Amino acid sequence: MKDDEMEVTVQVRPTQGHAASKKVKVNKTGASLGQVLDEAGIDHKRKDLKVDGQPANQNTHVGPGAKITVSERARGS
Amino acid sequence: MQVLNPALNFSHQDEIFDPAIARSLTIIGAGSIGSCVALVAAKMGVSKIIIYDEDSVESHNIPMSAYRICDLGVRKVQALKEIIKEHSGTDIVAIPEMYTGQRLRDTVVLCVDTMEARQLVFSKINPLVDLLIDTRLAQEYLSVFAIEPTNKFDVDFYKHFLAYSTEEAARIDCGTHGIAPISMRAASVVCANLINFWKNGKKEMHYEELCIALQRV
Repeated sequence: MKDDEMEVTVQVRPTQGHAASKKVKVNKTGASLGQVLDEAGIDHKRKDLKVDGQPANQNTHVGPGAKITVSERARGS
Repeated sequence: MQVLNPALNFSHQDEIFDPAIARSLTIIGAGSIGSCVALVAAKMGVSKIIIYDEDSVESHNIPMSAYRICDLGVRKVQALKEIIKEHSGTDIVAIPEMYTGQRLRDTVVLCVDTMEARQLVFSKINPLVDLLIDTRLAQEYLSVFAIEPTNKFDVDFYKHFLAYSTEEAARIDCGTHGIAPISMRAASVVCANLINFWKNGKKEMHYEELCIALQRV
């Protein structure tokens, strides 16, 4: 990992099968959640987002070691 | 059919849950999850259950719910009243109407399928409500929120996941709605929260599981 990079973990929770986690390297400065997910190629439109277990949105600042989750917006009953 | 109303013998759960500490339970929506929650709650000894739903039982409802083939065409809440009476001797309050803002109290479980219905119920939460549980399914994925309306942290957390329309949520396509083990799992998670909350004042604020993979996420 380069000096100006940091690593975060992204877990994508689908509606079927298993959740998948991947480590993503992003620039240390000014990484918003939207940027991190875009760089990782992860679709985050109309998804529930959390950073370290807390509600987040595309503008949430993401720090080194953050754990990000991207979940479908379940609404059925 | 004459249904007997014996006092249930709860000796197998004596050390786990005493029905005497149960509060009244209002369930909004008597679909797959709502019908299972009502049945499990009655079997664990909840004696005051109020349930709202205006729909009737259709054939596609039966596999994922507590309904029987003989309930086809019957109002869901009426069918559920008979099923629960037969299983537990409990008389539930069956309201064959959509919830439109009636006064709520004690514990409320949301088992609806639109975000707008969730938003309406949340707007009617008042200081008499001690716990709001919101259940959400998408295919194999289960999400259950348990929120104390007087707890600002809980409320702020929940509002974030309430602030979008049904259109902005996951689509439910034909054949992907769910399957019985998932609605029954949802009922189990809801009732575990009821036991913990009524007994110890504790609950899991947000429980998520991919139910067929048996993966807690």
